[in-house]
Amino acid sequence: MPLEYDLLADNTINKSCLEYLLIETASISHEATVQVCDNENVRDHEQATASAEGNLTEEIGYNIGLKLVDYLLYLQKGKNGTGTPKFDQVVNIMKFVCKNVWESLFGRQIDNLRTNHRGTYVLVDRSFTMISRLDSPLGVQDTLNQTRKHYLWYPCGIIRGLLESLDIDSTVQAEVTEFPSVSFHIQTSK
Amino acid sequence: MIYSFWIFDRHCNCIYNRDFAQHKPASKDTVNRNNDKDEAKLLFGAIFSMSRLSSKLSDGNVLQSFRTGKYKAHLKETATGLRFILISDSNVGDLSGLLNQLYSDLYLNTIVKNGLSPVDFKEGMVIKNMSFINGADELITQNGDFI
Repeated sequence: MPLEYDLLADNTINKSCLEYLLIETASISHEATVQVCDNENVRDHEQATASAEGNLTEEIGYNIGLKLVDYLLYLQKGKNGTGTPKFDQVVNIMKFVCKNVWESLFGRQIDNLRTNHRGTYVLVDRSFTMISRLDSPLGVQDTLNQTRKHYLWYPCGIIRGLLESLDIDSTVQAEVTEFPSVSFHIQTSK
Repeated sequence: MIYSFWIFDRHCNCIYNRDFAQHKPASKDTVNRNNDKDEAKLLFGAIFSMSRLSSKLSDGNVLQSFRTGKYKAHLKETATGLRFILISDSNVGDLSGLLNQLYSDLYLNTIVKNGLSPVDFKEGMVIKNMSFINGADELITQNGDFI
């Protein structure tokens, strides 16, 4: 008798497992790029390491974001029973990101969405869960530095992947000025 | 009256020490001052020997606290080899609830789930995060037995 798995029935994982995994992606990509740059004998070692590491983590987030939209829309359809929604305006896509995506990934919604209606969007999350527990033993300034260097690439990648799968080319940058408030600056072509 | 709070890791080093005896706020004088002193080593030795003794006396026996004329030591040992110790006045009741809170609410959230805190404390490394220090102070000073 064949085994049957209903993969979507219990679609939750242990929250702590996810937190530990995300912490490790940041430190492993750092270690990996340091080793690679060591081997290749790069001239400007520190800068090359930083950009390579950022690209690596961002790629991981990007791949996840690409696949995420279909999955979330499928889940929504399951709950509502209506046809798959189409996004007519980019603003609506942004609202979808702010509400549904953030809720399913991080358990809360984006606090603030600003736009200049000409392709620039700013999403502000006042208490970003991925970085809210970070606390360096060397003090607040070190916490901020480390956050900027290692921990903001992944969510930027996710947003970029999401928009790409909805056919929007974009660049995403994240800034943290007042810990743990993070603002994501999205530049789209539309 | 709670006198002090100690944490020893599985390498038998003292990674945190907070002295409450003089009711001073957290500073260099009260936090992590006795980590390498004889007092720490003696305390660890006593705890280690007593725990082994009690586990040999009866299967699955875990030492929770021991009391002397002048003080009472409350212990919690985790599966990962961490030892949380609270030294208090001799007539204080059971502090195991507080120790469990310190481990599961505070230590897990500020040290284990903190990406910037070391996973394994090497020789000489101590806990310095302000979020842990302030959180521990709050939990302990707000306990009914802290006077």
